[in-house]
Parts: sequence; structure tokens; C-alpha cells
Amino acid sequence: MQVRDAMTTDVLLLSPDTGLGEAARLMSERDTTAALVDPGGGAQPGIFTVRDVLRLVAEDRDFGGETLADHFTPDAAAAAPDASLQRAAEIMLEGQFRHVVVSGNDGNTGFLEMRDIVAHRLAQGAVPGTSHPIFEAMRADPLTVGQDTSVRDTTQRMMERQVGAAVVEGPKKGKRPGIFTERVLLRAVADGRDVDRDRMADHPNAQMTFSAPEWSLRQAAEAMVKGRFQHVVVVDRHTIRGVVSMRDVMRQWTEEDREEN
Amino acid sequence: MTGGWANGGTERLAEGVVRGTVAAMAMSALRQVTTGLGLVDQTPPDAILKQRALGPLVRVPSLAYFVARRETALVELAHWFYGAVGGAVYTQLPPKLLRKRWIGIGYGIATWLAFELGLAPILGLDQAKQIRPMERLMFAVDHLLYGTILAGDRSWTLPRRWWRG
Repeated sequence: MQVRDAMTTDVLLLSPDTGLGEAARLMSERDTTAALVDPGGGAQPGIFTVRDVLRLVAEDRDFGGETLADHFTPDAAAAAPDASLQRAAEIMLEGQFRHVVVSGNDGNTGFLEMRDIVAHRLAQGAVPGTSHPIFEAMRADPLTVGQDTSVRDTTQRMMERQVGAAVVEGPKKGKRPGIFTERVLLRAVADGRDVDRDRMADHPNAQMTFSAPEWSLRQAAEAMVKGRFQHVVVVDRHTIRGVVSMRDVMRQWTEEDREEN
Repeated sequence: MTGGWANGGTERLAEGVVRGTVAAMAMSALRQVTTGLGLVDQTPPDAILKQRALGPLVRVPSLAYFVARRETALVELAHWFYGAVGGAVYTQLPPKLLRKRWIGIGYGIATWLAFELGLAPILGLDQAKQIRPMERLMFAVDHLLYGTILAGDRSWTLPRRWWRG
């Protein structure tokens, strides 16, 4: 399986002069987690992702006045179209990021994200070993915030913990919790919401699901691909047990690949 | 029919549902033992929930939340429901077939094969891809128990002089 088999080629291409707010709006409209940024002069494109939006909101940057020029990643990790998906997955896991730029001599330009790899492997039935339970791969100490926590405060905590989502406690004890993700933040920024005033309760997220700890990791991966989200909240009878992310799925599968080879 | 079944169509159907449910409950008890002894990893309803339930629930987070928190109870309830349906189907078999001495055992084996050869591969469960001879044997045994209780066949459970009256 090669990178070209799974990569996204229909990408949003922006210039470094694009304003941060405009970039967020365009990404939200396209429902994409990243945009390529063309520095000009035939150089390899850089990338601007939802993680950058999270960082910039946490740093209280001016989305109305600043441009991508100072904030995109010009030397993003790259992979050739004929590189293996396994290698691309290892690059992402080692670098702690979710996207790699794909740039080939044949003009085949785009990016590959973790979702693409997981979706492609599921479609090909190339899931290693038997299906492991979620609790073996999940993060057991999820970032949890209250309904009244502000968007800014939440993003700052997400950056501190280096996580892409925060579990939002239910409105009452025992009520269904929610999740605040980078994608929800992107939408809030794109809509020009006041991230200091807005609370978690103002940003309900219907794009999510729940799992029990013993349910299979493969099932969680399928749910994430089908539902177009990156995290599944893991609960048991009494409590929130953790969060499993696309990264956790890929890490587990990559480790199993290594063991099998 | 073996086991003194009701004569009316609706009554017989209702009795099939009740007997099927009770038979499934007996299976659940046996599975507590076989799972506890490590002879069975995942029972069929458990496997379906753990490997396949999330897909239909993806767009309904409130339902996924409900199911994820009550999986143990729901696995049992789902199994009893299958048992009830199996019991209802049993009553619709041709009377000539239902008079056979082996019908309970045969029906139990048929429901086991329906999982092994039908449901497991169709749903893509791991159970269909693994050899697992002991687990398969245990499933065959608990489905035999189901069929025997459903059919109300006492001929093998008690000494002959007791059930002859």
C-alpha cells in the first residue's frame, strides 16, 4: 500500500498572504483539517492545520489581522507518493502530527492524514491481527472540562496536554458528556465567535460517539471513519474511562505491524 | 410435538416465545461457566456488540452512550430476545417434524450453525476467521441445551420411568 493510494489530492491551496480568519473560514467551509500553503518559487508547499488554529487561539493571536505567513509550517514533513503507508504512519507517530505533505515529481501534490491511512486499511481489510479491545489503546486520563469552561481556556489546556479533544462533562451528573475538538474550534473561529465569552455549552458537538472499554479497536476505527471524527469517548456504567483517537488506532496497528514483520 | 405444547396457534406461539426465552436464559447460565473457565472468549451476542454495534450507532450518540454503559445487561437481553424469536420460529415448523424425537437436538444444532455459518461470516466477526475448536464445541453444547429445553424433551434428562408417568 502506497501513499498515492490513500492521499487527498483535492486540497485547499492558500497563499501565505491569506488572513488567519479567512484561512479558518475556508477550511471550515471545505470541512478539511488542513490546507496546503504555496510559498511560491516552485518550493514544496507548506501546511496549515487545525492544530495550528488550536495553538493560535491558545496564544490569543489576532485572527483578523495576522496572516498565514508567520504561522504555517513551511518545512512540513513530506512523503513521496510511492512511499509505503506504513512508513508515512511511522513519520506521523514519530513527529506527533497528523498530516504529511505529499509532493511528487509527477505533479501529484496533496497531503496524507491519519484518517486516510486508517480508512484505506479498513477498506483493504488490512487490519493487523485480531481485533483488540479499545482499553489497550485508549488514553485513560482524558482532559475533562465543565460546561462553563470558556473556549479559550479549553484550547489552552488542550495545548498544554497536547491533545486534540477535551471531554465536556454532562450538564448534570449522569447526563451524557460531550466532546470539544479542533474541528469544533475551527468552526467557532470561522464563525467569528468570541472564544473568551463562549462556553463549552455553547458548542455542542453532534459528531461524536461512545464506546465501552471492551469494544474492539477496529470497531472504533470504523466509527471514526464513518462518522468523520477523530475521537471516541470511552465510558462504562459509572464514569468516563478515557478517549481513543485516530492516533491511538494508528499507533496500535503500527506496533502490531512491527511485531508481525 | 414433544413436551405437551398448547394446541391453539397463538397460544402455541406465545408458549414458544416463553420457552425460547427460558431456554436462552439457561444458555446464559451455562455460558457464565464456560466463559469463566476460559473455554469461551466471546459469546455470540457479546461478539456482535463488541465488534459490530458501533456502526449503526455512529450517528446517534445518545443511543451509543446508553448502550456502552449497559452492555452487560443488553448482551443478555439481546440473547434472550434471539431465544424468544427462535422459540417462536420453532412453533411454526411442520407438525410432522415437531413429532420427531430428535427435534430439540436438531433445532439446537441448526441455531448453532446459523451463527457459525451465517451470522458470524456475514457480520465479519473474528469468530468466523479463527479455528477455535473448544469455543465452537462449547457453543454447540449450549445450543443443544437450548434446543432440548425449547422442545421440552424430557426423554434424556430423567429416567424413563419418570416421564412415562
